[in-house]
Amino acid sequence: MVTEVELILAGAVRLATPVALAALGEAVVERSGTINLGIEGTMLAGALAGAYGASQAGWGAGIALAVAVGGFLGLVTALATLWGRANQLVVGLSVTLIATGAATYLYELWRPTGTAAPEIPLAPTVHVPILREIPLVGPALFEQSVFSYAMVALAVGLAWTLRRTGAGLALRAAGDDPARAALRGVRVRATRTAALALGGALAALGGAVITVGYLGSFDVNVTAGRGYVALAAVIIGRWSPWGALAGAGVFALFDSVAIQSGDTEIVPVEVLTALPYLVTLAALIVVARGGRAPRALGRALPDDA
Amino acid sequence: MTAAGEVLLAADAVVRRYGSTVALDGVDFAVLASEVHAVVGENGAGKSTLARILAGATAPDAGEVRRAASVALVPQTLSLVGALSLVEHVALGRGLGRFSAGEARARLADAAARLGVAPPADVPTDRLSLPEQQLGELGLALALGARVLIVDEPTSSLGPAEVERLVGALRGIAAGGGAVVLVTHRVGEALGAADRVTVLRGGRRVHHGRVDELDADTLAVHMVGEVPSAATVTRPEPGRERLVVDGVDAGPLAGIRLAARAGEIVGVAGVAGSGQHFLAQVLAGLRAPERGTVAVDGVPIGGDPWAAVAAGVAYVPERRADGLVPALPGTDNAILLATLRDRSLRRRWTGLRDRRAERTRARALFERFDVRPRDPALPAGALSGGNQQKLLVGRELAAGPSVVVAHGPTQGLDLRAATAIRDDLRAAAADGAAVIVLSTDLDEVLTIADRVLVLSAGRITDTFTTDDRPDAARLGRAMAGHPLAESDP
Ligand SMILES: Nc1ncnc2c1ncn2[C@@H]1O[C@H](COP(=O)(O)OP(=O)(O)O)[C@@H](O)[C@H]1O
Ligand SMILES: [Mg+2]
Repeated sequence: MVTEVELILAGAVRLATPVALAALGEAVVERSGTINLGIEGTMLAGALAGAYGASQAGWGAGIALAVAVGGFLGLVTALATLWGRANQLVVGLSVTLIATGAATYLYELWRPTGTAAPEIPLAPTVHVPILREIPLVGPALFEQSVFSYAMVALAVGLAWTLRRTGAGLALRAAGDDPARAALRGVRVRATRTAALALGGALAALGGAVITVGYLGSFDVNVTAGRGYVALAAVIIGRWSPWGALAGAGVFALFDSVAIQSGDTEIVPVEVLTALPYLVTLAALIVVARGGRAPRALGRALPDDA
Repeated sequence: MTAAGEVLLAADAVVRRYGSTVALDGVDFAVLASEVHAVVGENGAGKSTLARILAGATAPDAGEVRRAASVALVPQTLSLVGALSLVEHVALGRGLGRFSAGEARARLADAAARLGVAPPADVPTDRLSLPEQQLGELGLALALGARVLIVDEPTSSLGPAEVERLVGALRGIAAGGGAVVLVTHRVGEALGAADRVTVLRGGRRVHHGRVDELDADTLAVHMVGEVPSAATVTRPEPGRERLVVDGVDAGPLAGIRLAARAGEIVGVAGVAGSGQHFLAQVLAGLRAPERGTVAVDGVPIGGDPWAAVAAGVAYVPERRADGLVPALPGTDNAILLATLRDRSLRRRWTGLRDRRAERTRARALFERFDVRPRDPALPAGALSGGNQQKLLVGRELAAGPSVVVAHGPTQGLDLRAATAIRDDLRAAAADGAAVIVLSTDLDEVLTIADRVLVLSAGRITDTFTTDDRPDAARLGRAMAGHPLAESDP
């Protein structure tokens, strides 16, 4: 029993990490006033770029390539929506569709059908001696991939940045009231562009964490809608970095439960697989009523900003 | 330190147009160190435009602005970002790195000490009350270290005690070697706070000089100008009472009584905030009075817009967007309410809309009220402002109303469109309607009304017929919310 709970919790942290990284990025994007529906496709692009880079020059190279690709996709989104004034939702979905198609195509080029899957070196796991022996939470907290620790550090850093730096203020002002923010010297478009680039980079990092952090292989279904889960996590988390982690955690916990009980006969496996998504949806419905979204979220940039 | 008398901020012959409106028409202005300089004028005189141009928030079309010191503008519509606290505003837009909340708080506290009030500095500003936001924005401008402060109608939401403190603070800024440009339409405020005054009327500077050489009456005359002579129109004998308002309290309105007869045009004049908006809504049935009654031809309206429509009340709202749907074609806008009332616009058996009948009706309306271009298929938003207004007024008048409530019906229109709409309203009166025209623009009221009521702070403070109008000084004072002369009842 104890080991099962340990397995579920450790699995939950592992499964939460990619979603949480993407959600942290999207929280920043939405705080600046934009919704990026492209993060699902960006995650997949990151997963492939990470796998490819890692197979060529080690896991660090894979991560760097993924971050670059994600940042680029974020910039493309910014260019279309902020400078080209295209609709955010349409552009986001287009990025997802294009990235998914391109990833499928490029993967076929990289790995001609029939040959064995390429070798992908995994990023290291941190083992904290003694502490990881703590019952129940030991493995969950002290025996995880470097990315899980990076995720927590990132949440701390982002929460601090939002509250305590001029960049954070500019970001929140741009998402709340772009016209007045502009009056007060905030460069709204530049701020939103930077947020989209960061959000893209983090979504791609999340994707790469799946392939380079845990799986050691790539598959075109590897993200399985986790980009959309990240979008939900941002809302469940009320647009705060810690909330984004919590939102990702809700999904991951039930994902982990589903995986650990995958061989029971009582519940059909399809129901188990759907469980984390259903729970996330339920959480969304309950939480989406209260709290406050950035006021200008999803609206087109005003002319005078 | 600079000497008193040095020019800190000046404008030379600035011109600013908005479309066909000339908001500023070659205005000179200068504010000196150690003075409070009031810019006064009636609504639409160009005060806010001048304030924005002085602050650099709007570029002039011609002329020049000279700034010899840092300038901050507290605009008429506040400019705080709701999600951020005042402390955070101090750091906003000033670099991306870490900011010191402690230092920001200290600067705000210093500014608050000078203002004499300290609005909560650490909560999001959208949780502050309106006066707190107004004072907070002033404090913010001080905390940001501006030497010249331009404040546009800063007292609109303040009570008398707060106003007094604010004036003290503005005097303090001047005493400290800074300068204040105080934009206001209130005569008393200008006289009480300023060293010098610039009067704008219709985008021109009509007077400037020291305040101690002026009294309230003279200043009011400068603001209001020559009262235009009564238009020579033959007015039909007013008939029976069609609209009766008795003892109505609603929002700021207190004990409003008025009656309007068939064939009569009654003007309601008052500055912004005098309660006109509430009165218009009560008359149109859009707001239930807290006390008192509104009746049309003896039928009570209460707060029921359908009852008002059924009683034949036509309503031309102040904002065109409240009366027209810009995205819908002229046809739909021309029949908006008629389609519910008028069976001939619907198919006989199904009750569905009869598009052909609608188009015919719309074309006739475009023709009768001279809406151009004569194309009812165009979205209403694509028409010019004057033609939108003609469409709106035309729709409301087409069915032969019993009472017409028109709020600022010719505001911002060019002369030709304004004249057309005035003629339409006169024709409606001649056909037996009782017409009420509410406006913050005294000229607008005087050019059309037979009889004028002055609304000030929710009460009717003066009333006269246009043929027997009082002098400009009395009007100006009544409009500006000054206590009326003893001669009043
Ligand atoms: N942004 C704008 N767009 C169109 N017209 C404007 C704008 N700002 C001001 N105006 C017009 O310019 C004139 C002067 O306005 P304003 O400076 O706000 O007057 P005041 O502050 O004295 O009431 C008015 O006729 C107004 O309608
Ligand atoms: Mg103004």
